[in-house]
Amino acid sequence: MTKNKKSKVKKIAEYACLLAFAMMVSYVEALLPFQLGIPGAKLGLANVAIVFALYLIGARGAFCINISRVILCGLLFGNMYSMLYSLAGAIFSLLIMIFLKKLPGFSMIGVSIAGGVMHNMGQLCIAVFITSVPVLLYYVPFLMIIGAVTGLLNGWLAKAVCDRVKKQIEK
Amino acid sequence: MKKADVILLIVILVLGMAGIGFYYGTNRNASYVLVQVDGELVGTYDLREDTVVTICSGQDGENILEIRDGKAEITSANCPNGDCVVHKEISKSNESIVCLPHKMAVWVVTELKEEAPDTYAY
Repeated sequence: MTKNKKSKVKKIAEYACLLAFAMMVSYVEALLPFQLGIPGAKLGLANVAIVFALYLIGARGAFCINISRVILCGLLFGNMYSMLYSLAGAIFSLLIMIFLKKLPGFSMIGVSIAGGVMHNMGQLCIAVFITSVPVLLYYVPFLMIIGAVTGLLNGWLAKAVCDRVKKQIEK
Repeated sequence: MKKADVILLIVILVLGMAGIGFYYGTNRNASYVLVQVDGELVGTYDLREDTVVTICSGQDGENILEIRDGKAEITSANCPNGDCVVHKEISKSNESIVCLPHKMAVWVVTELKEEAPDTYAY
């Protein structure tokens, strides 16, 4: 009973820490005056926190944290429109990451690369859907490469964070 | 990084590069600018004629489209992100500028299609 209660408290604390981590990196990213040439393309640092959460607390936890992050960050730093837009990317990328994590042979970095690419694809789908301009599909190859590169960076960062923090948390 | 990660990365990069090659291989100098708001074509302009157009969308959405020296560009807008203003000028087929909050899109084509008589409305 006590043990059960304790693990519940631990779980709440973990979720809260991870959510705070995700929001913090989102905020830091919003502060960076950083443009990748294609409008809307950005580093997506928040994905570091999401990949980390996926490995630390599993798919369901990462999903909760990701959705909460999008809603909270949307309210704090964005608007309704940007919220809807990041939600699409977040859901697309998380689904592929959960799937890839289940497959053998992929590490955090591969999972993050796939997530980065699918995040961009998800947003592009919404963009094509909203504007109904098929020429937008010409962005696909550019977004694939940008997604892969940012995913690689984020995955590497997430792995670095994970290696350092996991030992502490499991104590 | 495991083997599968590397393979995934290479596959994505190769596909992306192939796509970009196709993109630059097929784009041509465009002659006309099409403007669409909320899925409907609202204007067609000649790229050779310098002009400034205000594109109205929704309640009070405004994007200023400027055509100069055969290139089209959004010079200012009152949307929350301003991605369309950041976007570089367009002049080649396949290129487009989109303002998602205003559901507005501008793109260029090499020739106007006969089957769309609406495009001559402006």
